[in-house]
Amino acid sequence: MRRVTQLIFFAIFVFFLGRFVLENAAGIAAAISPTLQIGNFLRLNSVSFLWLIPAGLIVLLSLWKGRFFCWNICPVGFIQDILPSLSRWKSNVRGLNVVVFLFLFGASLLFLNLIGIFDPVVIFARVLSVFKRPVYVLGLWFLVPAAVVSILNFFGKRFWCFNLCPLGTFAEEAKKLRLYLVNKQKTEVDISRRTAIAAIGGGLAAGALLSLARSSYADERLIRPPGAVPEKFFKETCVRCGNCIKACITNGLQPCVTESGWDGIFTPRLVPRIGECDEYCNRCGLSCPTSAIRPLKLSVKRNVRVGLARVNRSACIAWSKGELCMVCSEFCPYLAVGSTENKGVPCPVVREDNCRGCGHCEKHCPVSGAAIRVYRLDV
Amino acid sequence: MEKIPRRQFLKNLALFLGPVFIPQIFPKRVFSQVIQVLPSEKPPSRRPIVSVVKGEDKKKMLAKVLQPFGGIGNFVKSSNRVVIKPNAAWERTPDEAATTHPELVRGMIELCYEAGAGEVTVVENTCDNFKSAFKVTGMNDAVKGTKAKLKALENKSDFEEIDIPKGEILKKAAVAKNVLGADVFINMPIAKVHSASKLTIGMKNHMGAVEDRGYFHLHGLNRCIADISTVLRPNLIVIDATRILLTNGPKGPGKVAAPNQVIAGTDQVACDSFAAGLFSMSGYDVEHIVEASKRGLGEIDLNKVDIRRANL
Repeated sequence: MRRVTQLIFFAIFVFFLGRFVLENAAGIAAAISPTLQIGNFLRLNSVSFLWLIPAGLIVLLSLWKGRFFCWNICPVGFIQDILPSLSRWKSNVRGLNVVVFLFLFGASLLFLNLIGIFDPVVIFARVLSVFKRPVYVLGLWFLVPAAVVSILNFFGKRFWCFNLCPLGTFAEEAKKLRLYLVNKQKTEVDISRRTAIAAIGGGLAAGALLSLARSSYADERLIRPPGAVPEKFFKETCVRCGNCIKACITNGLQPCVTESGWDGIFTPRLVPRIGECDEYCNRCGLSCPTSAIRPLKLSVKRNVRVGLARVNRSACIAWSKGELCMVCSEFCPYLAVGSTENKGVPCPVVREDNCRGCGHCEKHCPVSGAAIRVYRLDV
Repeated sequence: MEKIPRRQFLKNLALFLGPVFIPQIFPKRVFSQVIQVLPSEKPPSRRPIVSVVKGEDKKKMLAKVLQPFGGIGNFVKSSNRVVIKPNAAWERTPDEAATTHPELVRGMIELCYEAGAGEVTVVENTCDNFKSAFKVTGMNDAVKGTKAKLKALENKSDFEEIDIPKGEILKKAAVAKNVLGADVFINMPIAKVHSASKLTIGMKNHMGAVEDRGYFHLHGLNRCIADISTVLRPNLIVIDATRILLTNGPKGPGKVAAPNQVIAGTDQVACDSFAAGLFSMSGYDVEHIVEASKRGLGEIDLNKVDIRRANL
């Protein structure tokens, strides 16, 4: 019976996170996790009230039934259940999960949205982004968290769930809290008050140390998706679920490696040479569970500036060789590439007031490596 | 007088009379190559026909514009494979006049099926993302409810490399397999201005059936367009001039005029040359049309074209 429910919910998660049938279903599906929302809250990023409803339902479910979500709904739990394992059942280290949760909580206050990054639904969303075609080698890194969970599961059944998972801990402790507060029931305490304080304090200290080491580096070609919050906050709020990368219809959104510093790894950036930012698409914003990319209406998104194009005149075949080209102007949706006559041939000039940095020009430039390229706004 | 033996006499007789009688014994078999039988009716006009219809109802305009050619039935025979190549390259609504009107495409699909076509495929190698482009241009609606298929040429496997024997610059090109395998190839462009080739009408629309457009721009756009038109020879060209884009072509948005015309023909150069008139130009002003006429692809001089006008 439990398998059937798990399978049904697994299919629902695959359907909504992987297919983008409804506009922001993928975002809501990933935002279903209450701990992800706690992380969002800690990083001071607001999510619309509507999006909190599914997470609220999970909170109520947890208060009432404890780990019901883990046993029946969680896709990562399902994966662990069907994968082989050496040990028969739970092999948990008592209280470790609470310590990990409090540590992540403390670190999330000062550093990245760590609670969200280690959220099981987000881990599962990453797995699905690997199935996006064409597959890039870099995309395979999105499998690593799920692979680690599976390997841990091999040595101890559902090791992740009972010892590390923030959502599982939340669900379990929520029920205990309810029993204690409402039903006045004495429950076993897993860790001492001292350990709890030490865990939060350790998290805070680690977060403080890590945020000292944060990188302010941003590549000159680092273009964030349209509607992205400012760069500094973007790295903090983004949980690297890969939803936007998977949602992008032109495949232009790709995970960063070093372009935004070490702490910005796997955050999305637009690579116009692979795919432009489509004029009639706003799916990245709609699919973002943390509002790191804000959900924009199509009419607004069309006018959002993400970067600025510049022509390299020594590479451009119109400027340097006098060829008849103007492909950039042809493709520009916003009339942002004008032409001036040079030696009897029309040559491209960027009208900066019109340019949104969508990258149509760079994508289709016939010169190898592109003679017109999009740059970050402030370089 | 010396006497001739009887045998010799008969030999001589055969030699002299043979040529007279042999043709009568085998009249056609031997001499039919020499004799040219002229038809009794008047020979057809050598001038290519360009047909123009002005009106509002797009389906009726299509039927009317094909009348001088004997209707669609003269092109599409029963169970033929028809490929329609509209211009649906851009994410632009039909009103923005950057793409072929979906109602015209739909009308053509219906006409083809009425003529007994086996399958109709609408193909396009879009410039913008094809999912958005087909939605915004209305191509999805154009095929909806018909048996026709809408195919985006986006994979390498959709194209096949062919030789272009008459090509001057373009010697080889990867061209859509659907077009190569079609019994009837119908080119349905829209007429608009173009930032590089001045105008884009019929022959420029062939670039949407080719894989590597960048090559054209790198190696002389106008001559490449003429080169590809030596191998892509549509059986029928129907130009959408119900509304035309006058500025900021090919993508727009720009100034739109509404001549409310549909132009059809079988001669690609004549059609393009005639449609250039919509922009107060002639075929001689547009380099790729001139290049195509130099390659003998059709008649650029409108004085030598039979123009049939009609109103609805």
